[in-house]
Amino acid sequence: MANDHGARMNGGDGPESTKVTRPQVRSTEDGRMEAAETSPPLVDRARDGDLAAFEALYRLHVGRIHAVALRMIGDPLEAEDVTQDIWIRAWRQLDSFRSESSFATWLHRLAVNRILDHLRSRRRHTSRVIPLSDSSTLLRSTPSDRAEDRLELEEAIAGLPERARTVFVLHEVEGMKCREVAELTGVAVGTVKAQLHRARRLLRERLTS
Amino acid sequence: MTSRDHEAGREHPHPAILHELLDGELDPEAEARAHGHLEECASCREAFRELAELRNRARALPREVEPARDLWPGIEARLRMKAEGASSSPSSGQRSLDRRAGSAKRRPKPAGLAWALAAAAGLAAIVAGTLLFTGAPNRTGNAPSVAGSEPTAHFASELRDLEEAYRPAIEELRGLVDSRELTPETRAVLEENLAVIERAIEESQQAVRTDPQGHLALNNLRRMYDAKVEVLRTVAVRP
Repeated sequence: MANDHGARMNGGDGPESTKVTRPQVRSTEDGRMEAAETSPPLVDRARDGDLAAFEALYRLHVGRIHAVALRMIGDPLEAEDVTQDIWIRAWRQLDSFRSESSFATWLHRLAVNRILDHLRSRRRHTSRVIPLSDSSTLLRSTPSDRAEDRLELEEAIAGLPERARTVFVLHEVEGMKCREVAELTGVAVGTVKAQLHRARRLLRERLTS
Repeated sequence: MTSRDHEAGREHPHPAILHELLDGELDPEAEARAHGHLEECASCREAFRELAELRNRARALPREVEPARDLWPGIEARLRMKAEGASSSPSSGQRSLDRRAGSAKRRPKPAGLAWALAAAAGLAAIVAGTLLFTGAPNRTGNAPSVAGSEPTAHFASELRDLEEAYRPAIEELRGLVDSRELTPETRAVLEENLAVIERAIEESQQAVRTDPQGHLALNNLRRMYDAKVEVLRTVAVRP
């Protein structure tokens, strides 16, 4: 990524950059978060090297990104590390973001790619399935009386075989099409469907037992 | 493909049909056929209901889950370190940061420091203590092998890279901390907690050298460096 702004650095300690307004957030029809960013857009300021603006973007989106990482990886500590890496990558690749698409969508795709890289790397190092060791992390944002139901489902998802879990989270939780999942994971659509059906079957067995 | 229900004398659709019906991927004719079967077959209707309920539950899961700890200090430290590397290597294409934005211009005021340090150090100590207590750097449960073992070639370079990545920020923050006027009590708390983290760093380094799951130990080591940066940064920049 070439950076034209390296010499004109703006780290965020001036009067302008320290007053980062938390952007308003709205939900789109498919439930994905979009930021109605204030002017000048945080992304543009971050692209110019404004670290305070980038921190504001982090505060706005980290919960969304960490949720995907935690569900796909299944291990809270690893998920935190990968979430950090995602933001490092986002910073480095900000120049590739085109403003005509939403930052949330761009970031989500970058995150899923990084998570998939991590899972591939982990597969090379070990065949061990790491269970979700602290499911309570998934309950912090769900204080409702259905928390137990959610925990049960989260644990069942975390217990799925890795490939089935990946497909289930991307398709059923994140709402992606099988074709999109196939593109991201680099496998055939038929394989995605087979893994999805397997995941659903295993979850039904687990949840009804 | 179908399966036959001998008792009812009925052909059931292949299970994949129910999944594809749920996903809206059947052509209109096949979809009508599947719906017709569901109207007549209680067991397939129940199976389909369970699949739909599973989807509804999955879609209702919270869209956001905050990390258990604030990850930003570690991210910021790594960005600043990468920026330093970029400034010494202009062709690297790294986005640069203004060093003025760093801790030097955020010179803290003394008020409230003790509370902030206690919070940061407490968190770091809990993290470090947990790792030491659980033996997390060696998550396979293997006993550590001979002390001083050489790391494998792969992890040796990653270990060096990690140490090099954090060293400049830690040294800079340490310099800022040393230049502050701290009460003896605050400095004692600081040093005590840094010592705890340092022990955890040494444990993690040893685990990287001896653990076949060294990449997991590396993650823990990174977490310990983050904790050290967070404690130092708290003292360096908080009012």
